[in-house]
Amino acid sequence: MAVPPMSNDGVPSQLKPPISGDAAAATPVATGVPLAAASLRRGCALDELAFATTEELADLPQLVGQERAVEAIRAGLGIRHRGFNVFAFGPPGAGKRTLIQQLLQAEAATAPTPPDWCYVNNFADPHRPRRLLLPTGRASTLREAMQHLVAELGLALPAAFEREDYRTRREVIDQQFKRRQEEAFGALQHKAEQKSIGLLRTPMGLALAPLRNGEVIPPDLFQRLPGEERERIKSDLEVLQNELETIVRKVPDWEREHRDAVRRLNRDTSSGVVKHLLETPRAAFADLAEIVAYLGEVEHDILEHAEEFIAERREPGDGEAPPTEMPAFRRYQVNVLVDNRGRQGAPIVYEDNPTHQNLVGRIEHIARFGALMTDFNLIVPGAFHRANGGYLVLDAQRLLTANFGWDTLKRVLRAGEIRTVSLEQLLSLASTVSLDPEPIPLSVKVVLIGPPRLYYLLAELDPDFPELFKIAADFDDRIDRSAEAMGLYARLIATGARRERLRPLDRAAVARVIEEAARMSGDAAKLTAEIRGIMDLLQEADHLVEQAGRSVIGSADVEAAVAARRRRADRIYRRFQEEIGRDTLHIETTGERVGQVNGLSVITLGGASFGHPSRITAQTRLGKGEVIDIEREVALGGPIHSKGVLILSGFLGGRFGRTGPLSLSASLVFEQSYGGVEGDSASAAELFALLSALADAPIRQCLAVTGSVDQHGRIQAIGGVNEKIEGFFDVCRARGLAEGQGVLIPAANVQHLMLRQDVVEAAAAGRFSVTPIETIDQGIELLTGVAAGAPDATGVYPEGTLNQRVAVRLSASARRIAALATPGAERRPRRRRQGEDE
Amino acid sequence: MSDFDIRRVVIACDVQDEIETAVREAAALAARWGVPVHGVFLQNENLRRLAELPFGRPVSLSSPGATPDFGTGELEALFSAFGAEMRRVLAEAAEAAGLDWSFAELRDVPSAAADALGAGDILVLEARAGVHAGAWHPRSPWESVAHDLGGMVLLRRGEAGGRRRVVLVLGAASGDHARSFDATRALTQARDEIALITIAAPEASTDAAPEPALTAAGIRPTTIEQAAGIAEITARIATLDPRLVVIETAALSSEALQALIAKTRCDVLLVG
Repeated sequence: MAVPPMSNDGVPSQLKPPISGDAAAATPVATGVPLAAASLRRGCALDELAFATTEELADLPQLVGQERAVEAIRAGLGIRHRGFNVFAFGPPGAGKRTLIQQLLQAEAATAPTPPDWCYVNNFADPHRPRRLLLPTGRASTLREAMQHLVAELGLALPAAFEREDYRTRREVIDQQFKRRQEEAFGALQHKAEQKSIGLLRTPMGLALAPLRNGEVIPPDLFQRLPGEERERIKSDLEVLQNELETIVRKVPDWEREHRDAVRRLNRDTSSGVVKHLLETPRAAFADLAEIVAYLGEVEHDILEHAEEFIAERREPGDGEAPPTEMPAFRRYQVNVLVDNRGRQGAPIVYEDNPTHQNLVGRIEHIARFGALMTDFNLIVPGAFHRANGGYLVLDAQRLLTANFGWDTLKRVLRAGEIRTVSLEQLLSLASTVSLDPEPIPLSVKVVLIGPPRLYYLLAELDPDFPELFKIAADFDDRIDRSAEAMGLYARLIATGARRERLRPLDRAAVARVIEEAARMSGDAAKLTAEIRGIMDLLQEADHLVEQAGRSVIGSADVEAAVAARRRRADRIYRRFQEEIGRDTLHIETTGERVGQVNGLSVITLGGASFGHPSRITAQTRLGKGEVIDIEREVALGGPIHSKGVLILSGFLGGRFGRTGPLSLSASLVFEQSYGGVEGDSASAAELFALLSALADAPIRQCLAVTGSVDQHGRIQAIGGVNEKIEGFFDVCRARGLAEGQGVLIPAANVQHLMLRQDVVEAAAAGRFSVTPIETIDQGIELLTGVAAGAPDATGVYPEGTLNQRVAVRLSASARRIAALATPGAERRPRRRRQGEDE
Repeated sequence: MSDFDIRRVVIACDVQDEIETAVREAAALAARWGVPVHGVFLQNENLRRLAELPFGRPVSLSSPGATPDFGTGELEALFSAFGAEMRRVLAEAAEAAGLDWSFAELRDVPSAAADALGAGDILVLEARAGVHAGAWHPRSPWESVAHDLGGMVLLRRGEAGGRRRVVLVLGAASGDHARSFDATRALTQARDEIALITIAAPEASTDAAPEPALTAAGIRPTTIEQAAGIAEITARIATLDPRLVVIETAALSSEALQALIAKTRCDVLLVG
């Protein structure tokens, strides 16, 4: 049967706890004998919890056991220098976001409220909108002042241009212009008429023609005129034609002068109105030199374009857009990008979708007459704008998968300014004219939240990362199970229950939750820091209580929730158990076998882990001392598993090959394993199978083994010990528990035991055992019932011991090989010694 | 009351720059009254003669140094093109407004006038300043004879701006002005201010001011003045700065009328 990839210890190697440290901290246990039932599960005694229900417990202000992360975050928030941004990482559900939110809120509340930012038109270069910095809350005041100004100008300027004095002065200018033309053309026309020549308008311009009785002289009549007269007419026409051309050439100059004069008049007329209307905003912003300068530019521009206010004027109530929305007046608007009016303290911004545009903002366009137009009013702020002067919190995984999110974040943090630019421009994919707004200086503390893997990958692969994120807030995945910690954990449960509006838990329920927290941590001496898992459990228990119509969550409800959760996730596990029960997966739990042992594996799928036994077998033959790992040969074994097998070779060589080469080869395999095998927790079992095969000593199949081994034969701790024991227990129980059934585990793992209650009860009844071992010799004795035997001073093992049997077998193999290597040896068989293999 | 009734708006053009504007404004007037619009394009005979003469090349107003060819062939082509363009613009404007329309091309002013000024017609003449010649241009043949055409002739100058004032220049206060009042009412809008200038005859009396007749025609003048001569009338009009001046042609001599028209910048309605 094909099975999913599995791990022999259930813990990714790079995240493995430092086993030596754990082992060092372990309480010494008696090895080689079954553990007492009390050692199989560290229950939470009710007298450790001094309350009746969680209603009595005060809220816990922050997470338990994350002091390191808290200290790091506080340091990151406190150091104002560039690059001291925070990367908070830890297991999912550890409450990172909640803790960061709490710390940020506390920090932000006392931080100064940042100023406002806005974009205004750059009158000198409209494609580069200007940024304006204003004290907190005053950007919107400026925007309203400018809206009011434009609205007032829309009324006051046309009124000024309709006043009598303006119209009189305009009339004078127009008349001067007209008079100039009339005088010039009139004089020419008069002069022409004196000579009976008329000035006509043709489709191609003005023309001069001889007249008779007010009409152009007919051509035939002209031809009949005396030659002298024709010449005179031609001569007169030529002179007048030159004069006409001279006048026409002057017309554009006159028109320009006329326009200039009108513009000067308009400026003079507008000036008083504009100055008067600007007095209020100037007074309101007199303390801000940049705004005063901007208002000066506004004044200049309005005076230059005063006619537009008249042209754009609309009668009130005719349904047109307000003046500020009219195209000509949009340039006087103020685009408030960041308005901190009413804010107390610094902003905290969470950006769920940290794409390039959502970070630095975007420049929108509007369709006008079929073309896409934009201006500074269409600049939309991004998360950096909103968080400027405060804190920006991002999910690292989303940032890395969002469109150019990571690159943009780094670029902005390195530059220390926000440059709003479209992706097309950034990638040089578009050559259309767009805006290039003045960048806005940035002062922000970025907090990234992500899994540890991402932190380590970035630290290793991105050289910019350490420069930009100097603070690592490493959230622990578990906390010590001290008496104080359990009290705090109870408060944490109470706080979470209240926050989620759950019913209160009684003391026994809290105790059961704490036990489950220890189980989730995989260590009886620890509690999981993955609070989300605990809260999920509480919510499920609350649901059961609600259905039962009770008001307090009891331990039975928690137990039921744990069971239900386990049941939902155990389909694959049940399938394994079923196939073992039907002997499709062959696992022996009684009897004895040479070269065969029950190893234990852990499979982790979708967050659920379960253990099951695997049949490990060994075969030996003549050879050169190599141990063949069949899993590795067919590329099903991972590197750590292969390492474990190579350690076996080291052990065998060290123990039995000191005086000569090992003349025997062995092969090891996980029978009926069709997926990958990784981890070294089966290395002890593999060595037991090998020794059994070499010594021809059968192994008791009622026992299963887990543990890794070093080259000196010492048994080392592994992960997933609880799941592994329970996996074998379930197989045995399904067949009816038989005498002697149990599991050998590394002594260093005793402290991690947090077994199910039914396993504990079976152990208490003497129907199942868990036996810690420290050495290979200890294990092989328990498995075979044969003494391992210690070598004497000359390195010789006592007769009949398992090691002696192995040594004899290896020695016999060496001689056999030597004999085979000698020509003719095959024809001269020697007499066999007792105990030697053929 | 008179039997005043506008039955047709006639737009008259010759070769000029502003055909589209003139036609659309005429169509707008016709739409306002719900009457057909008729276009008359005058192929000025004097231009034909000029084209046949061996001199007198036109001076381009847009590029004074250029001397374009101007022969009979070029002129006929231009007449044809202008005529076709005017017909097209007229058709589009009329159809857009849901009006009936007709069009004629004629060679001389008398026959054009006969076509253009039937009973109930109002002739709209485009008389605004040329684009390239600034505020000055030689008069078109239509403008030259506008005051002699009789009937009702509207000279469009396009300088009304946002003004809301209309001035009526009437003959003797005691005369019959019903046609002028009706024409004024037809061309005024609700918010217009009506100013009335009567030409004071030596024997005229202010008691004979035509207020009852105005009121009966739905006109409520805000200003009633008397003026003794053309200079005074011109000065008053300049002061009032109206968007439209309605002039009874019979009240003034031809010379006085020409002078008044020449010195008035806004639209002028001549009521003959």
